[in-house]
Amino acid sequence: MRSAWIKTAFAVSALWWVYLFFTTQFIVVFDSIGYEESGKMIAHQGWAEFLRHGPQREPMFPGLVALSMQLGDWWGISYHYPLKMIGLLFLSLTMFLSYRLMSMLSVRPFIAALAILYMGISPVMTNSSMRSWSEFAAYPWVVLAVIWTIRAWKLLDNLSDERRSNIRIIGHAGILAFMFLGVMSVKAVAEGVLLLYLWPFYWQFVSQWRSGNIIKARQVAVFCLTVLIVFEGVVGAYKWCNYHYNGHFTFTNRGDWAFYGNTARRMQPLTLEKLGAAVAYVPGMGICNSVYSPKDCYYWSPDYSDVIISNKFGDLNKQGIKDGSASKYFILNSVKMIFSNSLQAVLLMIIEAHKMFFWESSLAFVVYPEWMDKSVYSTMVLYSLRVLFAFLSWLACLSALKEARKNPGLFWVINFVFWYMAVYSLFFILDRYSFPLVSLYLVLISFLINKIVSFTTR
Amino acid sequence: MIPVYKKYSLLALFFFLGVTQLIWFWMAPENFKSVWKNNLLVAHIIKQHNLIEEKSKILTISYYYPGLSYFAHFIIGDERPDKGRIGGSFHTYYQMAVDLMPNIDAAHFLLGFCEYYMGNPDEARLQFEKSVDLNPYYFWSYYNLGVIYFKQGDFLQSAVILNKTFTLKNEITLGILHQDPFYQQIWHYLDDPGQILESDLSDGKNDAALLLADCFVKAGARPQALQIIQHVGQGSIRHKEIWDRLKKIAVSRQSITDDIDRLIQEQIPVRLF
Repeated sequence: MRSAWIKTAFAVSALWWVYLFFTTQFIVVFDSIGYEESGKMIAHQGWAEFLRHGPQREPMFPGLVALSMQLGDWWGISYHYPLKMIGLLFLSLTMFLSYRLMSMLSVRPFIAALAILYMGISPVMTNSSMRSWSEFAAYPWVVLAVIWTIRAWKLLDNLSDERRSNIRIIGHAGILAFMFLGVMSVKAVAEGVLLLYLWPFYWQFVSQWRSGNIIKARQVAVFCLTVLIVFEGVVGAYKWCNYHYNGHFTFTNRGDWAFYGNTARRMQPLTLEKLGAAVAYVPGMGICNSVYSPKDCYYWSPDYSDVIISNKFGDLNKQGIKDGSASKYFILNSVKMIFSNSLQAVLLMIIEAHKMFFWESSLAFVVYPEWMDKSVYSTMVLYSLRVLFAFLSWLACLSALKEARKNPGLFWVINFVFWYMAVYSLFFILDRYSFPLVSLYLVLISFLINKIVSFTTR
Repeated sequence: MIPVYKKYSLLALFFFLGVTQLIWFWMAPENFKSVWKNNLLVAHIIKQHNLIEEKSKILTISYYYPGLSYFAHFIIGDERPDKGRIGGSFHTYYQMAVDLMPNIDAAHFLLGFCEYYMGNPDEARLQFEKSVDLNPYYFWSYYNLGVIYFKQGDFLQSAVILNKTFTLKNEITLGILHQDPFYQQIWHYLDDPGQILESDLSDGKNDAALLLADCFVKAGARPQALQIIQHVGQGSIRHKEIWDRLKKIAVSRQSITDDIDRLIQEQIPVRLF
């Protein structure tokens, strides 16, 4: 961190955090009540009890809540404060790692500093890091995973000596798997993302094999297999723990039914009004309601898919289909529905994925001082930021897709963003699901601005 | 470029200054602390920190707001509270309000209402009692408490409570209803809330008098019962049949029959307002 701009960005962010740390308070409602209970369980009765009451949500965040509770007890204060400190620690790590990533992409220090500063004071990043919801715990892992893949890709490109290389390959693969496990322990969707994210390695294996470069092909194969074996080994072990303690061979307590509810809704006959409402729903329910009828908008809300799921649960219960069998039923039938009209499924997935661009200004569950609500976090400011950053993120992704061939670093950033969006688009995307991508969006935006500046100053 | 040893000595100096400042702040006498607390920025942070506590409670409760048009129907009288529906989001909302704001009488009152229609009269009684403790000028808390005691057969306690309702001023109860946000959330669904709240209060007072008269007859205090009947019941169109029968019983010194009790229990329920 040699640039004075970067140091200033970190210093200004830190001052802002100190102010927010003492003047804001998060509230415990909805999912965070569950996190609080899980945290209490882990802190006072241990992980075995947490698993016994499972399957539960992904384990990292409840673990952090438990740690905060223990620190809170030790310091004699509410666990909210240690949790906010952990959140800010994760945010600062993310900023540091994003700076590293921008350096790898040769972004100018001043532009990188602006991106870092925005990350540090962004309404959504500070809001999400100072509340009792899990997303912030995924931020550094996402950037780390991308940085490490770039390193591993370069390593495989430059390796020639087979004997010495195997240990380095396995080491790099193991670390990459560990980083994805970090993401997985907050967002279970990482399992699907990893399998698809590694496609350039699969492709390289095939192309090297076909061109007769067996040594290279073997190196790539060793890398892929190590990543997948380590990753799936740990995930499988956790699933096995769940099976041992609560009889469910699964990572989390949801997914299958959420997938079914959303697919069943999407695969119903599509009218022009419904399609229009789906598009209008992308920026938010409020926009949809101002253009279409509340009934059309309700159709695309999570509440409607919840109704479908609860009705289906009722039907399955009557038929005696429960637990594992119900899970299989949900997944199989969802896949069947998707293949029955793939075009509609893909179209609606693309529309759903666009929700991921509207990440800024989705503030919730934190109470701010009155002056902030009236000025910097006023509805007008927040909506403007939301639209501006959605547009910038979209533009930066398009530009990155175009540039990705020439720049392997950029390629891995956009590759992660793409697969993360693709896997999530199978489900209903809430604003907060896009938060782990924010650091990557800001890296892409800074890369785009850097390119524009380079072009104009040439 | 700053040499490494200078960099670390600077860091050590800052660390030393930070630690000594903390120790000083801890050990300093109060007047020194007040100087620090009067610093503009620190004072602002402390003020915001204190304000945020209350604000966060209100925000937490607001996340559970269920939409209370359903409750407005009970006031108009075109729907009766359903155990299943009341026990869901409505109960959760008021329970949350009571947990976070235990000093708000309206929250206790409305939680008591939910508890009663969920089939928990004892818990409801407890909540109405808390509501009375917190605000002894609100008519409907006494009314519901009196009704519950009556339905549970504790006529003496019912009479004691209902007797107090005669000392309460209508304007105060109406003022509370108009100003309290928890009550506002319900009556703002009504077309003409001012008129409805006023006429309901008058009906409530009439019903309270009827219950009290019944309690007096049961206890053998017939002159007091007759006094109420002549004062309130005479010419009352509301529950005319019950008033007339009660008067006949009080005059003839008969004992109250089961069917009058049944009629009273049916027609005088626990009410919102």
